[in-house]
Amino acid sequence: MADRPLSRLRPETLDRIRASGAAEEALVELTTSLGMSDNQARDILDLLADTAARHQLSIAAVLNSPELAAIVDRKMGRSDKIKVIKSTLRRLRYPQLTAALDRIDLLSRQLELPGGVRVELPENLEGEQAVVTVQAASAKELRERVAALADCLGGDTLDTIFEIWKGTAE
Amino acid sequence: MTAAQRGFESGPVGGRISAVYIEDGAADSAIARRVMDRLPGVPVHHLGAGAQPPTVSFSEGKRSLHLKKRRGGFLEHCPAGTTGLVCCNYLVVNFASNCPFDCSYCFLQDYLATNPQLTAFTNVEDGLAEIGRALARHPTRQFRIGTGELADSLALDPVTGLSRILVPFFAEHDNAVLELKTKSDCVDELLDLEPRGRTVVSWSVSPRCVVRGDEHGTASLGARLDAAARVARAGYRVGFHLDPLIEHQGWEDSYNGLIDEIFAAVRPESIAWFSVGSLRMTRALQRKVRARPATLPAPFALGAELVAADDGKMRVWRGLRVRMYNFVMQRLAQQAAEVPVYLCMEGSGVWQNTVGEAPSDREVALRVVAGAAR
Repeated sequence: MADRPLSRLRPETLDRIRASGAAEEALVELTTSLGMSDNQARDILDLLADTAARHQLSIAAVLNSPELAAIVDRKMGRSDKIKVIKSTLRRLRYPQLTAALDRIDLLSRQLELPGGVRVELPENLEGEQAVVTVQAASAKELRERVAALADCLGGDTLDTIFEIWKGTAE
Repeated sequence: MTAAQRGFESGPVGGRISAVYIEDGAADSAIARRVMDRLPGVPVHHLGAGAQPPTVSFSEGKRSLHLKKRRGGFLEHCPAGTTGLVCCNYLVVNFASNCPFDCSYCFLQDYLATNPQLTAFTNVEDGLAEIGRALARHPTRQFRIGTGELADSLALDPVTGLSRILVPFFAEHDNAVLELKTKSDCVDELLDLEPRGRTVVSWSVSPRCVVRGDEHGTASLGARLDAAARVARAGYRVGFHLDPLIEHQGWEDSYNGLIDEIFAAVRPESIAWFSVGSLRMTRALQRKVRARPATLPAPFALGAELVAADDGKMRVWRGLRVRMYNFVMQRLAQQAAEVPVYLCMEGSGVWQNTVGEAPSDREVALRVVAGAAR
């Protein structure tokens, strides 16, 4: 490992890679081939460690999972590949949260909110308050958008979104 | 085999106390005399007043015992009573610091990182006097006071015999309940005492897979529940803390099994309270958990779906956390609807979605204390 171009990584990060046993070689290859910064490498190592713990696997086994192996072999830019690796790891690390977010995303689109209206749930669904933003350039436009918003929120879809977020869905 | 030896065999990674450090002026205390009597053959080092044992790592700090006087107060409000969270008005009294066990998720890894020496304070009488003054100042208030915040309440009991001082003290006070909270099975010292309804012995319990993966050196779940049954037969009320709830694949089956095992061991009439609380850890603690030596099974605490909450702590994300609470609380209610259950370190919104109400701190405290007096 000493002769590989890992100079962008801090000693603590290198130590973590060295301590990763059977995964060391693959991690060196991943971080060097993608020219990862120390922050990027640490994020990936954290996600790998947590994902391995979640699935009671070794880090090497997570790296060899079909989901990750498919990305590593894919032809794409360095930055995009790092993003996709992180988002794939995040799906493995947070399977229920990502499923809940996907479902909420689908339901939100079904609401067909009017233009100029945004409904934001807290990051990672952790928190108590939703934030609704209505943009308007005039009183008339505000009234119209609020009325349109009220029309969108009449069915069960909004209740389902809140139930998923709050954990009260059956 | 003595009780002391048996207690330490369930200590950190099977280790025992390898040395005792005694501060000048502490050697004549009841605690120090008992330790010397019960750990024959363990090297004893005498230290000048205020002197510290050699600096050690967190894990090494668990393998030797420092006996010293506590300077400053013993009694404080439970730190879980953070603004914005519904709180059970618990008080903690610190007769010891650090713990011989080695739970992956333990907050002491971070909280005591610079002061990890396992310590038993020898001026217990000063702590009792402080408690006595607090109880006398508020004669109509019902206090719940625990020793299990910075230490396991009973892990050191086979060598310190602290419970032989505490249980009789609380038995003489009508406006307080002592809680001895543990992950050990060290209950021998308790069995011939008379608690008079003023001591609850409680266990932090987890499914067997979590005990194996995360709660190193602790008593097995079966041993904890056997110990609970023994103290219940000896006239104590017992409590159970399903805290931390650790989300993992198959958690429903794991916690279902845990609850079945609790009720197979102890009758509902003997149970004073349940608490339920989700795993929470600071980012600093999470880094320490990741840095622990690799084990198989890996710590379940690391793989739980933790995200940053409003107070900066990492918790299982809200919706999943509420689902876990509802699952566990419904199962507890099916078996023992009369036993009070409270959530630890949760805000009114989560209480509302779980219990269907958001009680005041005072109301929660009254209900829990009433559980001891049923």
